[in-house]
Amino acid sequence: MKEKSPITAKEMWRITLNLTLVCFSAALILGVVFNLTEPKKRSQIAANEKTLIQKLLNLDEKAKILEVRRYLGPGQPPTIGYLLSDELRQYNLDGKFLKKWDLPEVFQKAPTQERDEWVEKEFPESHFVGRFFAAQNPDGTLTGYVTEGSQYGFKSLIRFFVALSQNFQIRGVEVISHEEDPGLGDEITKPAFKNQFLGIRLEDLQTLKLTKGPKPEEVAPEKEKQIYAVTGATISSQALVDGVKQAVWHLERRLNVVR
Amino acid sequence: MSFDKLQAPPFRELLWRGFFSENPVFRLALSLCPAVAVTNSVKNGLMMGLAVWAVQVLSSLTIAIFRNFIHDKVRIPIYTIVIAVWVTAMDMTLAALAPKIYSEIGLYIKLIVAFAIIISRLELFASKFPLIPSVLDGFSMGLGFLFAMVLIGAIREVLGNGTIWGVTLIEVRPILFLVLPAGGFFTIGLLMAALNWVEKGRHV
Repeated sequence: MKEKSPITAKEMWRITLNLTLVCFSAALILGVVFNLTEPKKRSQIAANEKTLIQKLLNLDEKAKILEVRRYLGPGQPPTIGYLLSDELRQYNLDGKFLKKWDLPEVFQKAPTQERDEWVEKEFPESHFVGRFFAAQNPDGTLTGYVTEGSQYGFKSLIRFFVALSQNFQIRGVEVISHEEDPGLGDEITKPAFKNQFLGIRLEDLQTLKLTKGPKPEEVAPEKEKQIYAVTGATISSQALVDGVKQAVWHLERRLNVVR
Repeated sequence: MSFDKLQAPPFRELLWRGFFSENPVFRLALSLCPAVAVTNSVKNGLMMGLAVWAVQVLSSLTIAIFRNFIHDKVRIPIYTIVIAVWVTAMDMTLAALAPKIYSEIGLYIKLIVAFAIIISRLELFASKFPLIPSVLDGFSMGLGFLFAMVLIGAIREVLGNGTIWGVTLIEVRPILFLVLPAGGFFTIGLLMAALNWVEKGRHV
């Protein structure tokens, strides 16, 4: 075998310098691009969520969408903070009111990120854990709610929105992101599956079951309180059913606390 | 470096090469996995082709500019970093500026980092030749890839699904099998055979 020429120290330095410079400039370029594109991407996501909520609750342009963000505070047992459109309220786990801060006017219209930073300062060691939305008519009456939930599916977290009318009847379920298998688990995002949730009431949820087997041609909505699973994707279907149940129950409890 | 003494091929040959005589998919048989995975419709094929084209040209440009600076022993990692930077930058830009397109092809864009065709053009061409021939080579290779993707996509979509660009052409699905991944290999194989036959005819 031919012996390889050894790398001299000088050459080693050159290689190191070479790689360091390349990685450094790569990081610099990507950092600049990220900073330029990230705000646009964020505002797009927010705009998409707004249109989705409007579609789910069938809102017109005049209706206002209020966002309620929830923060988990420090302590044992922990405290919960709710950020409303103009104030931050702190409750204990049983829903007893503890304290409130007024949100300064400059932050009321500010992007979410800035409001989160304000909360971090006022409510130290807390972190964002979830959110829900309430739709409000121009005259101040609430017309419906959308809550964000997540549940582990077959592979990873399934994130979804559940839209509810004022009297807690499901008006729509929409999967925001998931990593289920194409053709099997990802069928849960199709209307054929998710539309089965339409019209289900809060009191039905306790007995709501996932059924395996062929879906009958016509399901009588008053009689049947069941969701037909996607064939070959029972775990994904079950996850969405469980997730929706949890999300609605949590929303009901939290609304009672905040109201 | 002795490489600089190499004579770059004439421009016309450079352009023709990527498109036909050294077409990445049909001749070099590189990057077949994505070519099969993505080309079940014309639209997907075109989007993927455009993304690869852009990354190929930009990477060839970068490597050609810095070719004398890159140390021979670490050239492959550096090619990979350059490709990854362009792919990631494009990924972020598309997500911000064209979210509709991004939601359809975002998954495939990240795959471009590992495309054999791009790294092979950098190693075989851009690292040895000056700026203009390198960019032309990247341009023609990228275009050749785009052409192949669109052609395969069109054949598979029409014969497999009866549609073209989502518009229904034939009510039935003549050969449904073609939209499946295995059908992609069949299409590429048959197209390779057809191109060989055409080329033989040219020389005889």
